[in-house]
Amino acid sequence: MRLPAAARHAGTAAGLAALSVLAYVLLKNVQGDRGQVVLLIVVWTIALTGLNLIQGLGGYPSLAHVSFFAGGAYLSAYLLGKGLPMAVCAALAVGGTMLAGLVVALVFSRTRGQYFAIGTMFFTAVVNLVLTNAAGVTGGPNGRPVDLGFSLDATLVLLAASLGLSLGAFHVLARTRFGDRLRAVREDEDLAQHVGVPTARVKLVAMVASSAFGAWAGVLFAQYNGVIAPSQFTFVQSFLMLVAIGLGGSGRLLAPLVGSAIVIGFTQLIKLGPGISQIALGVLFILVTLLVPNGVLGGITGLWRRVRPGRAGGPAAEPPRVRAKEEVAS
Amino acid sequence: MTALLTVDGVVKRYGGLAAVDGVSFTLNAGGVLGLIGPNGSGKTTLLGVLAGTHEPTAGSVAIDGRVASGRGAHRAVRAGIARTFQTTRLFGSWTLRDALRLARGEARGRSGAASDETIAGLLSLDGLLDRPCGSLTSAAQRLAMIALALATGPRVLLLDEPAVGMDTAESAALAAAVRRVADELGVAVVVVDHNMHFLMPLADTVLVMAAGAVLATGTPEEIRSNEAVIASYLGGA
Repeated sequence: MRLPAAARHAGTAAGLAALSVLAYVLLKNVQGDRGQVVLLIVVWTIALTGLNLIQGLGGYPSLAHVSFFAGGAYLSAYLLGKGLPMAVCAALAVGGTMLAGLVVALVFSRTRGQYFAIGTMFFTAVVNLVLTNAAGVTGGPNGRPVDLGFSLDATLVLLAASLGLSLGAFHVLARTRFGDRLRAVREDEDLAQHVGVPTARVKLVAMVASSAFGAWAGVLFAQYNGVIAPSQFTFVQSFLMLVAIGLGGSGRLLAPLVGSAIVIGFTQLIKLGPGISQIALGVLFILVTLLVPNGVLGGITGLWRRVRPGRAGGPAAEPPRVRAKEEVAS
Repeated sequence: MTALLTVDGVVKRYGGLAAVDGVSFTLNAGGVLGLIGPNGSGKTTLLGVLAGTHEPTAGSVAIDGRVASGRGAHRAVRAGIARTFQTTRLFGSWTLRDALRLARGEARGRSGAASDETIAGLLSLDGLLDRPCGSLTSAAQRLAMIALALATGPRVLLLDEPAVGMDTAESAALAAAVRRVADELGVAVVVVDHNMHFLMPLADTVLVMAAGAVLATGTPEEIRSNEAVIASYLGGA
């Protein structure tokens, strides 16, 4: 039996609220390396929710996302160093990064697929070069300290709340006309144009919104970590973010959380030696792509459809492809 | 009677090559224009100009006297021009109903789009609205492309080789469906196709292109007996 839409939305909201509470408890109580893993999963989930818009719903593989993450971190740190209030620093950091997102979108939205990925990859490479070499502002390759703008407890509360709120925002956006337009762009951009979708504008808005999530995650990361350095914002990180969305299940609500948990878990917890963890992650990504092309969540959803009572009756009960509207339900 | 669609001296150049070279014609509401010509004669490029995909180098496309060309495909849709493609293009994982809902929503500035059920009835797609587009048969997918275009509430419908890959019975059913669309919705239809058995009985007027320019215009009977057309394109068809 399918629940009414209002009940399902209320259930999602309650689930996300519970997730925020759980995140707060873990952030507060888990210490050491594992505490760092929890922090990174929470921060990445917030950041990757933005990537899930442009890449997951829109099908545009952006490798610029870590640059937006860096934008929030460095801009807020720089402005705090100038003595501005934290709220102002955060707002300017997010706003400034969104402006950068707009520029990236204006430059690269004429490209598609791998060309878009390559273009945004070079953007990230340039940003990393600037972070490494503009030592007067960024601290250079060794990074810079970040003044405390929020108390530690306030940062934890903001991290936990932002986790649920960002996923909630995605849940809402995915169900609006904007979400449908992004899915249409992913399915067939030319066709989308010819049914009236203003695809250029949709991509611009998605990229700018995506950069806002990344920037806010960067602000919180900088506050929690206390030190930021270019090595935290490299092309490799951007690629791992892209992989995380694919592993989780592009376009699905919890893809950022599941993908982050897998990627962070592999790279931080399983110590297989320098580079070996990333190779193992690459192998895992290939296996997931081959075995469950819709990601872990897509695989679980497909499995559930096959085994749940009343749905195993035959091919007529199982459409050959997943309905677009149902993608965000898991 | 004022023409619904007015194509006036449209030129589309790529460097020194004029893919479309001064094409003009008019089309009334409910009329069906067949656009034929050899490969490379500029038919698809002209369709692209009409659909807003290509900006004309010169000339204009107007609906009810209001210029609709050169403003991009999505604005052409809002001006009342919708198109289908040579190859089947659909939102494969969506149900047809979801796809029609998107198209209808995008043309929100326009009124008069037929309901899903009306469109399905006109195109013999009854019972398929809740099926994923990708699961439909090849012929049904080509009809679904037309349904998607109709959901935008167009006044002009551009069909690019709609009968390609269809057998005789399917193309006859398609021709009947296109006729119903023109007659019952009052939509002006421009059809590009190489299948003369499909096109000639369907079209009220046929425009023949060669080397980007208009070679001849007339009723299907006039075109069939036009010696220049026979020599350059039709042969014994």
